[in-house]
Amino acid sequence: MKKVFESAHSRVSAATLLVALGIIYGDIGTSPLYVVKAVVGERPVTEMLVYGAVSCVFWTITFQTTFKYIYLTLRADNRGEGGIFSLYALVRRYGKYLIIPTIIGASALLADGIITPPISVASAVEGLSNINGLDNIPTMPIVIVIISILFIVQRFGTQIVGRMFGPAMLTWFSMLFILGILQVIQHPDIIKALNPYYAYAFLTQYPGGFALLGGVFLATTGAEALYSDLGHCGKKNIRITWVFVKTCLITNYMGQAAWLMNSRYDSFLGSENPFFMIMPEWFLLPGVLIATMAAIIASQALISGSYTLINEAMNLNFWPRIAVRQPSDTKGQIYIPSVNIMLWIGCVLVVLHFKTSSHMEAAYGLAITITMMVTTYLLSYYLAFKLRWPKLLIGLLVTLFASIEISFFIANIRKFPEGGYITIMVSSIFILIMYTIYKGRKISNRFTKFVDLGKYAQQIKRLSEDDEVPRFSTHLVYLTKANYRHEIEEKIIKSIFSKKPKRADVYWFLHIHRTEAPYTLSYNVSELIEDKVIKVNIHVGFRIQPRTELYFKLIVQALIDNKELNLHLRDDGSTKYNYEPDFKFVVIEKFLSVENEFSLNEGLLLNGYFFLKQLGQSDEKAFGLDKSDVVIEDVPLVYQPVNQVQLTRLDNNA
Amino acid sequence: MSDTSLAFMHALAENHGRDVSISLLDGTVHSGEIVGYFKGDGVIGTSYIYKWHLLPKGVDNPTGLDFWGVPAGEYILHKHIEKVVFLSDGFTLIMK
Repeated sequence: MKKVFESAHSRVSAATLLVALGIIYGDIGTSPLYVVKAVVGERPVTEMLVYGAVSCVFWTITFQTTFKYIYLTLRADNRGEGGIFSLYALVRRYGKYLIIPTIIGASALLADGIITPPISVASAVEGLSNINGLDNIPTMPIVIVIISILFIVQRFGTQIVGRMFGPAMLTWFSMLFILGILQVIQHPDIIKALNPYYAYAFLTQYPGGFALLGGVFLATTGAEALYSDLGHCGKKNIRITWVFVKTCLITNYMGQAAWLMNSRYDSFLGSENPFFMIMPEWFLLPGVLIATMAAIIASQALISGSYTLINEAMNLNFWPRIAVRQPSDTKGQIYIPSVNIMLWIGCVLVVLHFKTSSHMEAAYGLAITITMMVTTYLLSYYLAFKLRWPKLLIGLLVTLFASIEISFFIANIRKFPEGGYITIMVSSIFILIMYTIYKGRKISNRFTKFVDLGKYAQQIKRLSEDDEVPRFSTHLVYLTKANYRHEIEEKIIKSIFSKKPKRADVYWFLHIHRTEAPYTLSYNVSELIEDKVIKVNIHVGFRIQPRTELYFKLIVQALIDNKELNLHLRDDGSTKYNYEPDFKFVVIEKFLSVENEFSLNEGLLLNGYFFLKQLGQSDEKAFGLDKSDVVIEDVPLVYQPVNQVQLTRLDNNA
Repeated sequence: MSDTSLAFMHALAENHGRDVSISLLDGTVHSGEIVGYFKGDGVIGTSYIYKWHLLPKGVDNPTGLDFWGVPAGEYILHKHIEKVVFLSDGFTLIMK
């Protein structure tokens, strides 16, 4: 199985390379639209500024994107899947506290998702103002319309237009290269900027040079998204296409720098964007259209990435259960309506608030620096415990990346009052949601009492065979969190025996086990009492949406085919009219009891947890049981043993 | 350091019986039948089994719940346990 999987992901052809170009590089590929403009800003164009900026961009892309992500981090694939949650799933057993940085990193990545589409699309559309006669065109409404259309069409999936992404991005990168090389030819001295000395001089001698790292960092923000999209293409395709992509990007950055040296030396850039200034005038309109197309593809990648991230968060129990749709048959393509609306509103508010791309630059980059630092931290665990690299080497690598990323963080934190506070604020909301769901669920589970199933086995058998008790169902199915064969939740025993005992011919206890591998789907069955009490463990990968009812039916069918299961006749004689087995699911939902022993902290977390759970899907829908015969039972979260209470009866005659 | 609550749980599942005598760190001794337990469920700083439900001998209710569905007996936090003796065979677990 593993071999089949590996060969599918390591296949390299012209078609797979084209797919990789279309999916992986949207974010990092559209950075030339705004990076040089962000670094130069309103400063006078000098050699130290221009050469230094290009040198910094080149070495940032080399260290951060090529070395850290393309060479190192892509090794950390979880059965072919990448991204912060996949990495966490790989290393979580090696550190109790890894959950905290993972939640912070994922939240920051999600928050960045509300800036990437507006800044990419706005930067591209603003190119229209360079065309004669369109100087004063209002770009903001155009940006809002493009972004809104993008979010509206999400529900239909992207399988048809997705085929165009590869050729479109090939056109985009070819354009970047040609535009860049035409300028480099006119000022070949710019190639000297690849010398790291210029980066060093820029950071140490240029006034405020270190602070300008915030702008330089925008050239590598897409590296994290690149890792998240690993599962779509495989690392070989990414590594091969990266050579082409990096060449095009660096050539374009150098081209913009060459144009600055030739045309704006010793003067100011003003409101001009060098990206569009290097285009011949006749090419401006097609150039803007190609740029807008690339920005839309970048935004699409970001939106799809956000769905995947939330889906993984949900399956790892960091996010309330919400509706997930599959708009096409393409594996892994999902659509989450609530996330779509959340991102749509967020993106439109960002456009309305900042108005132009140059203002958005102020908010962009701060959150993603945090994600990158978290990835470095998790990666060190992967290198140490999975690859078993020498500690000294890991220490050196972590020191290198930490120095770079902390420098970027310090440079980016200056953006906080100018707009960075927005992504930090949004990140904080996501952190709060994820932490509350994670910790609240843990605390809630801590108050779930488990009992020895063996102790009740004979009682269950007696109840099942007791004809004096009316039959509740032929097959009664409970969802259990007990992962050991011999244990069961007390609330299930209580549900069976208390009040009106639930008599059934067969009792099923179904356990959904979330695996660390992304696409596992397997099960095992153990009969605790033959043909009477059956426990089924279904192992589901963290990228798969659980469809309990469907899996259960398939398992039952397999047991029938193997002659391992007696379906039992219904005692009311209805079987002769309908041979379908009579299965009834019991879903037990917890609510907060007033009788509890929580501390203030735990009480707040649990109240938040139950509030967020109410906003999400019910357990019945979340487990895909909404089409089945389901009985919902509510039980209080906490039972307390009775304390010795002195209750005195008063004499009525006294 | 290994998780002693897991050792206790496995001992219960390995035919040592459920009747135990539990010595706590405060010096008190509690005897009865272990009828259930609560998992720490990975909450940082807790053991795998967070607390145990002990039903004193002579309390006759098969589910450990009384007429109203309220649990009888007492809950013992795992971290408070010093020693457990299984009454059927004298098997002893030292926790601290």
